[in-house]
Amino acid sequence: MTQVPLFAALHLLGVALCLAFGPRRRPILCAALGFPIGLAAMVALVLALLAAGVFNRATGVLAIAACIGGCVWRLRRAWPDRATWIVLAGWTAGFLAVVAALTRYNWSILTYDSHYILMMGGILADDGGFAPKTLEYLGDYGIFVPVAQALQILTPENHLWGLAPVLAATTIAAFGVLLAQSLDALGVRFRGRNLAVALVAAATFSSYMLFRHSFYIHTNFGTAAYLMLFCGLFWLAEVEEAPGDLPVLFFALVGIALHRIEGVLICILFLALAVLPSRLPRRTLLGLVAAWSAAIVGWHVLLASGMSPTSQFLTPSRCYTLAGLSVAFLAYAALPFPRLHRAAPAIVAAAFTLGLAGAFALRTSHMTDSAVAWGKCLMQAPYWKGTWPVILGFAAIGLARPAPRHRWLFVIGVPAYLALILLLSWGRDPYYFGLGDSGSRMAMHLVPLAFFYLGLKFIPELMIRR
Amino acid sequence: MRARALGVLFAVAMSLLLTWNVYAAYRNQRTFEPHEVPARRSRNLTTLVRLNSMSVIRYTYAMYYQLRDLLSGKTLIVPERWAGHRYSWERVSRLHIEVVPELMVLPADRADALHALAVQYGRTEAATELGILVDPTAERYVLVQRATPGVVLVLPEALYRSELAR
Repeated sequence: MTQVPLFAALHLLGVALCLAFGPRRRPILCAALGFPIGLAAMVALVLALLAAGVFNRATGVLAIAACIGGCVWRLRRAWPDRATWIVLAGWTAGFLAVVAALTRYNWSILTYDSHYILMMGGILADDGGFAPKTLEYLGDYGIFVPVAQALQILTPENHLWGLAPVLAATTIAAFGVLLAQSLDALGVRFRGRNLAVALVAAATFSSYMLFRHSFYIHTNFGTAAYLMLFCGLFWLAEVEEAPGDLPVLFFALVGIALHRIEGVLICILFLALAVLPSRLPRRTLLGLVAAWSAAIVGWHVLLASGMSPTSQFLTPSRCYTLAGLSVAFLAYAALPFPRLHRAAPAIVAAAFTLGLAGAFALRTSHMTDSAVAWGKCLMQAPYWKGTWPVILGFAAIGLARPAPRHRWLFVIGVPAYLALILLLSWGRDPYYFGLGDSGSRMAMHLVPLAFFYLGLKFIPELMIRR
Repeated sequence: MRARALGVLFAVAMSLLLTWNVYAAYRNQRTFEPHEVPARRSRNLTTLVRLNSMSVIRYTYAMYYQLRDLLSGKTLIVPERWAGHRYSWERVSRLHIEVVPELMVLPADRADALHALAVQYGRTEAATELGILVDPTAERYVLVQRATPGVVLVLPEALYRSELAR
C-alpha cells in the first residue's frame, strides 16, 4: 500500500498533461492514459534532475507539483466542464482500488537483469545524480526502468515491486479505451462493441508472454505499452485531424526511446511512418520531432561522456551515432518535399526488404539460424503458442478486406519492426529457442499494436450495415 | 453477410485464443522454474535476493547487500584481483574501497575456522563462501582468501594482522 500515493501522483500528473497537451475532448482517454504518460513524464523529469545532480525526495515532489501546476495554469482559460470531472473522478477512484490491490503483495519476477536494474535504481536514488562510472554501468540497459525504480526514494520501500503490474493494468485499460475511441472515430457504434473490445484486450494481454512480463521487472512490457500508445494516439489524431493531441505523444516517444538501447531506432522507424506521410500541420509535427530529437541528443551526449569505448553494447561512438540519427531524421522530415514524404511507407518497406535480403545474402547461415530459432519461438514455445498464428492468420485474411485510413503505422510498422528484430541479430549471437532469447522477448513489443489494428479492422465487420 | 461472418470468425478466434491463453498460463505456472513465474514474494529486496532461486542473484546478496547491512560506511581493503567489484561495493554496499596489489591469504585451517565463526555468529549463511566477521569498533576491513581455493573472508584489519602474526 505504501506505493499507492506515488502511483496516484503519477496518474494525476499524466491526466493533467493529457488535459493540457493531449486529447482533452475525450476525458475518458485522458484518464486511461494518466499513469503511463505520468510515469514517462516523471522519468524525463528525474533524468533531468539526475543530470543536474539534485535528485532527492524534495526535488522529486517539487517536480511533480510544478508540472501539475503548469498544466493547471495552461488549462485556466479552458477549464474542463463538470462532466469531465465526473469521468476523471470515477476513473481515478477505480485506479486507486486497482493499485491498492496490486501493491498489497509482491508478485514480481526477479531475474539477473531485473536485479541489475533494481541495483542501478537504488544507486541513482542514493546518489541523487550520476556518480563516476554510473553512466557506464547504465549503458548496457535502457535507462527508463532504473530511473523509474529510483522513484523508490518517494516511498518507504527499497524497490517498487508494484510498478510493472500497475503499468500493465493501466496499459490494458488504455488499450481498451483507445480501441473503443478509435472505433468511435471510424463511426463504428453497435450494441456489444465494447464487449468485443474487451474480448480483444483480454485475448491480447492474456498471452503468457505478456502476462509474465506484467510482473517481470524488465524493459519489454513498457516498450510494448508506449509503442502501442504512440501509434494508437497518433492514428486517432490523424483520423480526427486533431493536431492538438500531438504534444503529449512526446512522452510516449520518451517511453519508447529510453526503455531499451535500440529504442531510438524503433522511434525513428515509427516516426517515419507516422510523421512523414501525415496530413496534420507540418509545424506541429516538426515541433514534436524536434522536442524528441533534442531530448535524445541531450541524453546520448551525456551518456557518451561516461561510456567506455570497450563497452559491449553502447560505446561513445554509438551514442553519438544514435544522437546524429535523431537529428538527421529531423532534418529529413523538415525537407519541403511532400511527395517524397508521402512515399515514406513504400521507402521503409523497400529499405527493410533490401536490408533483409542483404543480410541473408552476406551472412546466410547466421541469419537463417536466427530466423529459424526465432520463428520456432514464436510458433511453438509454450509461452508464445497461439498468439502469433492468430496475428499472422488474420493479417492474411485482412488483405482481402478494406482497411482503415492511415494504416501505414500498423501494416508497414509491424512487419518492418519484425524485420528490424531479425536484422539486430546481425552483429550478435544468433537468436535461440528459449525463454531468455531477446528476439522472442522483443516480438512482444508488437503484440498490442498488432491486435489493436486487428480490432480496428475486424470489429467493424461485426456491425450490420444497412 | 460474408463481412459479418468475418467479424464473427474474429470474435470466435479471440474467444478461443483467450481460452487457450488461460490454459497456457495455468500450465506454465506449474512447469516453469520458480524464478520465472509470477508468485507471491517478499517485499524486502534483500530478502528477495537472498531467497531467489538463481544462484547468480543469491551471490550478489552476500557480496553486496550483506556487506552494506553490516559494514556500510567502513573501509574495505581489497586485492587488485577483486577490483572488478569496486563499483558495486562503493555504490551498493556503500563501502570505501582501497585496492592493494597483493593478495591477502590465510592458511586453510585458520580461514575455515574464521568462516565457521562467522556462521556461528549468524552473520554468514553456511552455504555462502563469503564469511564476514564484524567488530563494532573496527573502521577498516580486509578481504582475505584461503591459501587454497575455498572460502573468502571479510575481517577487521587488526584481526587479520593478528592472525598473520600467530
